[in-house]
Amino acid sequence: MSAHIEHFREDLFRVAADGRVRLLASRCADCGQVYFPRATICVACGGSDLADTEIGPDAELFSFSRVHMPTLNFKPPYLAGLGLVEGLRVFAPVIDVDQPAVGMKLELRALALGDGSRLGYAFYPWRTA
Amino acid sequence: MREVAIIGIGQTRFGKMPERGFRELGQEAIRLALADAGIDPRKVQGGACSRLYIDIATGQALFSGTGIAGIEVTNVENACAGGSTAVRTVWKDIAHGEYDIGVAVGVESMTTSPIAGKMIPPASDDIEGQLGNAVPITFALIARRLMEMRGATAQDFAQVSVKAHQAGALNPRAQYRKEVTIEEVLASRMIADPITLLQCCPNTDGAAALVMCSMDVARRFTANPIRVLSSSLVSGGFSVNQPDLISYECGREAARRAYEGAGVDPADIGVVEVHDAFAPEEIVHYEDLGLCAPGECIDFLRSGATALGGRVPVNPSGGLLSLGHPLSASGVRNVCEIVQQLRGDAGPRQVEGAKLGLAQMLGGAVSGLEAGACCIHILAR
Repeated sequence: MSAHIEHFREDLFRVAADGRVRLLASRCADCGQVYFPRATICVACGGSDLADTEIGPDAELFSFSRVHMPTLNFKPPYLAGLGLVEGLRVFAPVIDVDQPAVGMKLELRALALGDGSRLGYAFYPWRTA
Repeated sequence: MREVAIIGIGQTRFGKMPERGFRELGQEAIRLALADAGIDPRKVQGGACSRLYIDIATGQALFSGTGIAGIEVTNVENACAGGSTAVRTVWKDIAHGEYDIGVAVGVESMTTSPIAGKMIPPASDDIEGQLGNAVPITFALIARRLMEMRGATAQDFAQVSVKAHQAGALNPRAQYRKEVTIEEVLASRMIADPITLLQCCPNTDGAAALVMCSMDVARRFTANPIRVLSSSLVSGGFSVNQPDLISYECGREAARRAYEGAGVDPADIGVVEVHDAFAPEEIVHYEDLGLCAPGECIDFLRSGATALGGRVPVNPSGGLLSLGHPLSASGVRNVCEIVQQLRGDAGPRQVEGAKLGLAQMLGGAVSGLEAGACCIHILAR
């Protein structure tokens, strides 16, 4: 059903047939550094030969915070997290995780934002759906 | 380059004063700094003004009301490092011989700004903001990494706030002049775990200003000029090059340049002011400034070294946490605090025997970067 909702930003992510999210990223042909969102230059090595790639859905929780204040599209409390996706730190809410721990495996899936009119992504427990 | 001195400082009270407005606040700070220097406004040859949420050409509006016009005026914005950047702008002009006498002023009236009573919003194109990120959360994520990598506890973060309020209670210009206990800090409303309300700096109105001049000119006005040994400003590094959240490349590099420029060692510094918008952040700066060895920031905090009476007190003013944070004024204000400390003029919060002081501000969130900028000044009496 989420496939019918407009993404909150174009050219940012793709919901695969299995419901999991692939982030639309770039990879430097010279040094392999990954960028999300897509980039045109590699700031790690100075290279400019970047190819489109997809990263995710697998992630590893790097840091997290239980949020008790309202933010743009979210009502408290909710869990905010940074996940490592191919070594890159990616921010997203963390859904259905009661006992967060640094290093736990997660995966990216779609999440309707705010009033449900736009689609984003979030970290979910790994391989539970 | 010429040696530059600070010969006058001025600061309004910090607090919620919507009735005062930015003109009154900024002009009061400039008048106080000019009076402190004993200098006629007509002698001022250049100025820089830091502001974010105020009108165009704010500096001209402030300076003209204090009898200063027809000079070189630059308006700057560099997020929380804006005030420091204004100080650096005047320092550079004088050091390079553009003029001899200048004024740096920083002002913010948060209660009359477009974001009054709100959080500083994410930039409109910010992806993370759409996904539930906000400024306190970014610092909570840093705090979690300090717990993971440095063994920090919720009590440690609370202790930073306790320490700030102990100092701020002694500062007549502070917004919150009340000591708090660790229990009170931990029991205050949770904002973004582990950060509670009393670990967040408040929205504040206020202004600060200082008068700088070349050293040869300074001797005409005072027998005790405070020397600016160095000034550094470094923009944030790329996030992909930042291996963890508990250190800033721009923070380390700004410190390296400041120490090198001053020809001093971190161990020589006797008093420090840093950007402590959220309590855990202060702990990150201990290591980036080289105040303690890498990996030892938590032991350093627990030793009491950074409290008033410790080896190198950090934020003896009360910091942003207790003094309040009028965004663009804080970077000028924390240089003024170091001046006051080096003059031996800080009253009950005086750091005894301080000969060298350092003022640091970190500012700004920029997509793809670790931060906006870090700006540092090292001063000596």
